[in-house]
Amino acid sequence: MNTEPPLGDDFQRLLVGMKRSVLDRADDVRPRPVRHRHVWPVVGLVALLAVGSVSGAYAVGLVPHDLFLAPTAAPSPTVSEPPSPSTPAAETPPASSPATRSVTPTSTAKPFSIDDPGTWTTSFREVGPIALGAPYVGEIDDLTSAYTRDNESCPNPNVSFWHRTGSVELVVENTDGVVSGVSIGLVSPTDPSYRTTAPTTAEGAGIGSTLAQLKTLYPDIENTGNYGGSGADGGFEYWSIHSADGYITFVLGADNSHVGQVWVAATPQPPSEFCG
Amino acid sequence: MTDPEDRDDDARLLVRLALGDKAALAVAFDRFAPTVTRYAWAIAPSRMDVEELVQDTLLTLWQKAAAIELPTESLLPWLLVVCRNHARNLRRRQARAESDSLPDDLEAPPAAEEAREHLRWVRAEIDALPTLDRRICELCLLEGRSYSEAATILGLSVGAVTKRVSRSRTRLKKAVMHDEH
Repeated sequence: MNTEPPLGDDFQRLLVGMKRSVLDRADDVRPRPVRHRHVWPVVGLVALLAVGSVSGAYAVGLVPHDLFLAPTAAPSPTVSEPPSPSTPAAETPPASSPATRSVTPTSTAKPFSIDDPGTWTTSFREVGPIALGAPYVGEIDDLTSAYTRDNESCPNPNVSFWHRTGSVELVVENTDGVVSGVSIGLVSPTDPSYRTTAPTTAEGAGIGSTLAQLKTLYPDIENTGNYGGSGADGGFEYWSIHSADGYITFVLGADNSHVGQVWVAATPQPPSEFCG
Repeated sequence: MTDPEDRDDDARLLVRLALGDKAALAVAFDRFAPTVTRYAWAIAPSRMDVEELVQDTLLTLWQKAAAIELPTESLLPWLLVVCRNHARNLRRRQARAESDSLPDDLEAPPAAEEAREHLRWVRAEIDALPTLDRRICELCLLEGRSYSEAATILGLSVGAVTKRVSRSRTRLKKAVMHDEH
């Protein structure tokens, strides 16, 4: 505007009105996360470990979207992809790693329901129906069955935020028209909510997993830095697994034990922020 | 004027916001809204638009606090960039409402002189920022870059976050854990 901003009481009245509105709208735009009991699906984990042990021998491959099944459909034994010569079946463990065979996240080897993120698999190339490197517009269309897009809160046109009641937030990053990163979970890192309703790797790792579980599932997992200092010093540690296709990074929460965010991209560290 | 204690508090405030502490939103409003309002006043066409930009900017902070990882000490540059981005989106919406075809220059960043004019009522606040935060403001608000681009240009990585942030988080973590038990 060409006019000077108001001064004195007029400016204070303007601020008071805006503050009241912001605080009123705050509950609508971001409901407080609901705390759930701290439950880890042990049986599911054991089952997924077994699946992962087998699927770890297979390479990453894309599963076409027409494999979407109803939520109640049983996994089909025929959907496993044959090994791809371009992708190693497992990372070479460092000399200090346990002599356990490495298990790497496979692609969406299990069928999933497009409207239930709890059935989605996180791999180096996909998060459920979202394929890294695929055209952004076409990929995010696949999210509308499961999530509601938040169009207003983030002004950066190269990311989209997706909400779902009872599940974690999803953020999809767009670089030059293709999906370049997917973030699963932006909830309070110490909140154990949603762990059963969010995508996991084929081996069962995701929101709420502990570092000890990650190290068991992925002996090759590496610490790839942190935000805000070491976990012991109150920061958030990054633990990543990688393949030729990219990284899956598990960001530990404030308790330095449980995963609060999962980042899938060509780089191990999530962006410093999404909205600027 | 932003004093060092306030800057220390920015990191702590951000963590409280990320944890859903609504009182922290009120604190953030009191701390930043005057400056954001004066900046919005320079870039918005009407008082009603100013109000919309300021509210949307603070609500973006509220919604995205858990995703924000400050590479420097101050939240103010991030908020000014978000305000600018909201203003761009507002212009797009208004242009669409007025005409089916968008003007050719809509996406073009403002000329340097115009961008400098946009900062005329917040210069004191920007001058009071630490050097890196001032540089972020210049790169974003004068040169039209995104916050992430500016951070990259300045060599600020996620791992370069100050120990002050870390200390604040440690203190808060202890406070939260104490509250939960």
